[in-house]
Amino acid sequence: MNRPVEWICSLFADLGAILVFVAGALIVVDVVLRMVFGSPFAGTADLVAIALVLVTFLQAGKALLQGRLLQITLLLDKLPLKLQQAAMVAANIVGAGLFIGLAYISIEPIRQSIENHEFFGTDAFRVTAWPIRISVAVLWVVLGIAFLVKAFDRRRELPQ
Amino acid sequence: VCALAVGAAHADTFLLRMGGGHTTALTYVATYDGFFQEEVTKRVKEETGHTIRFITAWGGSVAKVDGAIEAVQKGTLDIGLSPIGFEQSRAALLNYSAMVPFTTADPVLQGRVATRMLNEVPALQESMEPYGAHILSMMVTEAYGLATNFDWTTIDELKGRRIAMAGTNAPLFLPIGAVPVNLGIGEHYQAMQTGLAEGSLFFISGMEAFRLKEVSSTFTRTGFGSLATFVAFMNEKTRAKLPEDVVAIIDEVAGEAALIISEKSAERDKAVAEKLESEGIIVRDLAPEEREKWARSVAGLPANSVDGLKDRDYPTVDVLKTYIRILGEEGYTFPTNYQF
Amino acid sequence: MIELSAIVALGLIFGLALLGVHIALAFVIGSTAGLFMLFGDWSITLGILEQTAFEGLRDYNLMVIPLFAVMGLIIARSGAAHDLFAAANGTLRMVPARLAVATVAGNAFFAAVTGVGVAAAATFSQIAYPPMKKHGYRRDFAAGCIAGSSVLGLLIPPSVFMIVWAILTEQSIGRLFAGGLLPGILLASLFGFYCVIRALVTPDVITGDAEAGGNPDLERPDPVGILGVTAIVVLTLGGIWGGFFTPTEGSAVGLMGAVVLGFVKKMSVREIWDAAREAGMVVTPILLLLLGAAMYSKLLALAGIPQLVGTFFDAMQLGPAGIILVMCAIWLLLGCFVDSISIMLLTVPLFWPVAQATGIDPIVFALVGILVIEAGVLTPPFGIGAFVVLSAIPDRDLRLTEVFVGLAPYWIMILIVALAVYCIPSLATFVPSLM
Ligand code: NA
Ligand code: NA
Repeated sequence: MNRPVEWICSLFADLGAILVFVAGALIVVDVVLRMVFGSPFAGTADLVAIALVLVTFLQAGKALLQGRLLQITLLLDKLPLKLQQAAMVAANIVGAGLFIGLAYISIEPIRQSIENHEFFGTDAFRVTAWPIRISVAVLWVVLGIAFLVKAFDRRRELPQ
Repeated sequence: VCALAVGAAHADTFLLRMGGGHTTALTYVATYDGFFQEEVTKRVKEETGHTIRFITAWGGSVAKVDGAIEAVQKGTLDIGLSPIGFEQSRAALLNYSAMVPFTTADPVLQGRVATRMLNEVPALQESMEPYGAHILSMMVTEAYGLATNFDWTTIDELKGRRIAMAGTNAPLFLPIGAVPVNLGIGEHYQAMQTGLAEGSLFFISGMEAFRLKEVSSTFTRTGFGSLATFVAFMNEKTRAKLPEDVVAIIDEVAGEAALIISEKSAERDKAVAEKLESEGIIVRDLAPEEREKWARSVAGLPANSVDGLKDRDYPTVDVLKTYIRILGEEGYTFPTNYQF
Repeated sequence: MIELSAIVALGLIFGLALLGVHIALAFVIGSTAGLFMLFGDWSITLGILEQTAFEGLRDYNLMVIPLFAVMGLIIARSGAAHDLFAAANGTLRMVPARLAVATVAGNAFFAAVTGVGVAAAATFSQIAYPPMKKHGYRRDFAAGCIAGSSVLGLLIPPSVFMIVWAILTEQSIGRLFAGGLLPGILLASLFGFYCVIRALVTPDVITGDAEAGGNPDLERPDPVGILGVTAIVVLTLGGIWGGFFTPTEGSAVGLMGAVVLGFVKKMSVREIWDAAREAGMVVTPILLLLLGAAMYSKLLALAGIPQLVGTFFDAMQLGPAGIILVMCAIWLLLGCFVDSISIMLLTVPLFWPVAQATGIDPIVFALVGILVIEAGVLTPPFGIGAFVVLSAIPDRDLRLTEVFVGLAPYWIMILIVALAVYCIPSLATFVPSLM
């Protein structure tokens, strides 16, 4: 169970890193279009905004598995080892519940998004919303699974 | 809404949460924060004996400019104020006044038209049913215009000039060769200060409220006009839970608030213009022939909007035609004949 | 009941965080519990959760955070930070404790191209600590210098910290960036003077022969690195302040500049790619934290807490200076438990309206806040900043107490600059007023 999840989280994190470069390149192209041709690209703001949501959840799983999420361990470190482990298991199960729950409660908004032809942006540039909503829900599920893996992993931090 | 405490037999206390993305620096938010809140509380107490308590969350603390309708739909807010230019997906049809460029610059006239539209075009209210949001009132903006750090009288002079604006307005400027710089109003001042922008598309009151007068020499009333794009939405479930007489008072006060906003916007347009002129800033109307030229260059926009809503079951064309007809009946004709 | 919901939420956030729950998660769970108390309705509560999780980060301007982070890490790994350090060391030949002063100077310059403080601490732990150790700098003196200097990265623009502050208080990022410049330079100068004076007054902080040579890699700094960093500073900050682009656009242009510098400094595609991946791991926790805090701010607003805090401060009748002082005390206290971004997210939504009412300049308030919060996370015994440096410095003998002892003077200097900014507001407002 652990290996494939680590692999997927790592792959997703790489996609996220690529997406940051893509967003950066898009912004630079927009700047050039504005400065040189006087005609900026109407979709930059909306696409970059959506990219940030994807980047965050693409990279969150790996950050979690690597122990990068901010934690306060000073009290925890003073507790007996068994108690520490129990606390971490509980915390990670709560995290798993949260993100899998999020994916579950987003089913209705996704259904409405399809039904109402929801889009992001304006008349000047539109992005159909449902594929983005579904992607984010999938990322939440994967993140939830990563929390489960973390909960039952004996090692406190996985190798980088 | 929750009934907090049950006092005498029929005197309940109701909590209403009200919010939106803009701050009280804008007339419509200020009117809901002040007049609407006070009058509803007072009249409900006097006429029904119930107590209303408001919690307000302006400035995006609960819902950002593009989030008020979703917050109303989900029940986070009982009443949400939305600048629907940022809600072109959910409030698509309600944006009718923005789809036909160069409308009336008179907020009072546009306010009358907005009220008639809401009464005479049921499709508007129906279009919000999927979001469980009831339109309390459609309110008007002040008249849009262009603050610039250079003087200009013909639209040719805007060619190549960088104008700060919300991305949704870019299609108005691209055909005449101006360069839109996509920025929130809060950033216009700095953009004009550093030279990133040479102009700003906003209301004349923004010259004061956002200090644009410090970086501008001219304000031109371009004739984009006053739009009916500030909308107050109320959660349908909240309406169902509240006593009918309370809902009636809310609807009544919302209607009055819309009138006040129209009048205040008209007054503010006038007062700020006079103040700016006394401070040496040029305030002028764009010449009618220039306005007509500009309108002709963007004459395809209404058809684009109609096209963009093809996948919805909206009577978009009828709505736009009704809007143009009602405006005509109230005394305004567009500078060009839009075909769609 | 209404106010209680926020108190319960706050209690849960702290309780869960202290139990080791990821702080972002603690924010979300505590706020969700508070919202349920508030609405008594799961569908509304979960609705807010879902809307916030999806919409909270769908913001064009927040993209600066990953963009500046990737840019900073590429430059750090290109060897340019080492060049800055070496060049500073070379020009300071006659100065006592010149390796320490060069650390400060290198940090100040590097700060202008990096947005996250952690990057600076990690970079200089690797490049400045080993030579200092070699030349007999006492461990506490060397470690304190590195930990203290890393604060410069948050003050001298660009700074993720300032971006978050600007977003929380709806200010212009560009103006806040400009405001940090003078206090940043002032603080760097203070740090530099301190190192020199300390070495003169208590010579035992350097036991070895500091002036001896024998550091071949510090002798010939690559001018390309220094020119490259200068070019990127001119390109990004110059471009933002010169009206060529917005801060978000500046970060994207800066990233492209960093990639070019990386290639010029002979980084492989693989190395640049690794820097980008590592930046993701540094930045994602911050973004998740922002998301958690967005839930918490919504709870505060829906429970009417900001008005309540306002009334509370009014009732204390403290006067403007007293109010700011109480806020600073709370920041310092929180710094003992929580990281700096979390402190900001917890307190600024509550403090900002109150501070605004005192009439303090928003830029002054921001800088005082940033300085005091940073001092907070360097406060013994638990200050998180010290742990970051402790784990980054390649020296197994280094003890936490030594880091804190070395840090103490920097802690005082940071608070002195905070006081100076409060008393002389033009320190913060002068540069923005030129824009
Ligand atoms: Na910096
Ligand atoms: Na920190």
